[in-house]
Amino acid sequence: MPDIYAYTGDAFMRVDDEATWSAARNAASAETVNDTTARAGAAIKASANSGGTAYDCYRFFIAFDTSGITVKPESATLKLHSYLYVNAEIVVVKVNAGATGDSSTNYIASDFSEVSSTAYSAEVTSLTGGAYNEITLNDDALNDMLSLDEFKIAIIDHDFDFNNTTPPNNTTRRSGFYAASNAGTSEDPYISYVAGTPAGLTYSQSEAADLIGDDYTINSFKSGSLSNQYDRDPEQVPFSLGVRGPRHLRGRTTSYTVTLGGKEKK
Amino acid sequence: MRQFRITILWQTSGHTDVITHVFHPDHTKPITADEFLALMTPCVSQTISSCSSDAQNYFTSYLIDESQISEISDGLVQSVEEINA
Repeated sequence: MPDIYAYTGDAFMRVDDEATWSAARNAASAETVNDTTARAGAAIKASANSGGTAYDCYRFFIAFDTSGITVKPESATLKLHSYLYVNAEIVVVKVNAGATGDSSTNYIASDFSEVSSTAYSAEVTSLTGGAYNEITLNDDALNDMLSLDEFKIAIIDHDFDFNNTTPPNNTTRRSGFYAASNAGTSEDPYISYVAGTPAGLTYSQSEAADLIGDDYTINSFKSGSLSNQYDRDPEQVPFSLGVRGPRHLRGRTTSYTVTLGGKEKK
Repeated sequence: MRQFRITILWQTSGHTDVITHVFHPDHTKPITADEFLALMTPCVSQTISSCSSDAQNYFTSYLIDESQISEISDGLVQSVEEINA
């Protein structure tokens, strides 16, 4: 199965201590961006303090170069290596094409608000600590892997961020992951996919029937268009009939008898 | 909107973090951008744990990951600079 590793411009983005959940979740810009760190214990976070006066919303942005995919994959799995906390239930969502970050450009703070409502996965309700977690990508993701050269995703909290539900007071959900900036690739985010099979040529019986009617006409070569040794008078059909050719050969698709003959010799 | 770039060298691993911190009108912040610069500038060339307690609190609340809080004596602040928004 081919693998596509994330570009090293992946970014942990956070908004901290907003007075309302809406202010944190719907901020036009991240407050803090780290696109160089190797890992984050709280890459994803949705939290409310005990008094319900301070809310945090963290998201993890990743980009993949899918320009080499020319056939829709049969399946694909996003592999994320967890780090430290694993109690946020997460979902993979589409990042709008208008986001600055891609597979050769680092994400920037304003990309925080470029997450879409299109889910690329089901909710992941359980993560394994200290190991790769495999997240199956859905059909929307597979279609975009084919149609887009830049496959941009964000990992976000499911229950509060994706569902846009205010976390209850004194709630902290967070999950950590390694980023592509980590040394080596043994913990990097990547997508493993099963390549699709190119569609073969299809044959439509009804269409073929339309192409050939009950009667058809084959035009002959006009005199003088062939070199002298092949030129005949009258005009010739472009194949041997075994008999002298008429100006036009008229035929039909219903059965009739043909008598095979040899090449006429003079 | 004003933005700042904070560079931290984690001395044990040799890894450098470059953090972008944004002062956007939408954000609720305990301090202004000018106060942030005044708070952070004295930290340059020091470890985070050597900064003032207010600066340390700001680092641990807004800038570094929760997993790095126990390692602030390892994090050397190399630069704090304002960048174009």
